[in-house]
Amino acid sequence: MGQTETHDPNIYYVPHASRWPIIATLALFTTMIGAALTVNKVAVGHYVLYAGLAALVFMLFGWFGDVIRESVKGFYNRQVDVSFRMGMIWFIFSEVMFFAAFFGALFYARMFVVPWLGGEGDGALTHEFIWSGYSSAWPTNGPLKVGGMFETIGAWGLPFLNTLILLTSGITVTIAHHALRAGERGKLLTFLGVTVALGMLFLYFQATEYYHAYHELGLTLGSGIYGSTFFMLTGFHGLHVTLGTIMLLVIWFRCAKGHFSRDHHFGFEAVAWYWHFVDVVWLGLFLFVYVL
Amino acid sequence: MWQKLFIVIVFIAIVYNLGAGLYFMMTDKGSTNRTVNALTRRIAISIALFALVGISIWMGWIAPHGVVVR
Repeated sequence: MGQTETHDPNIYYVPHASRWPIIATLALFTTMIGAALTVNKVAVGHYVLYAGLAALVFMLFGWFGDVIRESVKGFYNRQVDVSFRMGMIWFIFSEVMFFAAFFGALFYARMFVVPWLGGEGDGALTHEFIWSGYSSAWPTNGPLKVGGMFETIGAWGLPFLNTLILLTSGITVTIAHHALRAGERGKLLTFLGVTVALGMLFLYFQATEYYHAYHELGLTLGSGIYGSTFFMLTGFHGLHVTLGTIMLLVIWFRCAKGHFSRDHHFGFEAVAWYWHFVDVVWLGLFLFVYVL
Repeated sequence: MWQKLFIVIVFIAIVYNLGAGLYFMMTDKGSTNRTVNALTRRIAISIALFALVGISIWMGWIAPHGVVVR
């Protein structure tokens, strides 16, 4: 909260008081209550949910704003800097584990479970007595045809275009990164701005693809194992692109305000790296879900 | 099969360079170009792989999901 303007640079900066933790607690509590009421179909449920979410956004905006102001005032010494970098490492570790779980589910279902149901390996008896008419294949919604008939989205078309868009955004964010290191502000802002625009374009096409899948291909979250793994992986990836785009937008405004220098730009570097990470996850998705 | 193995190996090279970028971000603290260079390698290899996969499907060397569309 930065209530004191005099700060000893040898001491790890801790604000004297902050209202944000209690606001965060109340916001999360309201959101959860709202979500619970909504799924139980209580009439006012969604109003409570939206109020909670609005409070959450207010809190994030305010808290991060305070952190940025503290950083700009120079309250953060080397020790605080190291703690931010450690935080980034743990955040990325959790992200890697998160996607590893969903990619793992896809591989396990595709490489083991579906072939077992088809009678391979340990599944010979299961196949013989329960699913004797089923021959394993991928994509599949299993022997019961859960969710009914569906068609998959071909690798050509929108997924190919979206991969192209994300890879292009990877180039533009890298050019922006080089520009920051070289101290070229105009170039930095231009290419960072283009990256944000490409992120939004990706999300638009992703939404179009989902609409097409639901309304014309019969491919839904309920289309058995293929549908659920497909939408879990691409959906959570889309959520990460949304987050990344918002973060890049914030960083664009911070760059425009001159918050970063050639040697002092952890905020930029962390978000740029995150964007590369999200891009690599998509490349993995494109290869393992659409192509291989 | 070897085509798919090759794709996976190149993908591992991409992940390695991404990881290197994170490592240099932690150790160099923005004072060197090692992070941005690792990320530049990462995007360069990614584009090369994407182009290769595109050409491979186009030429019929690999087929998405092993299903050949004629």
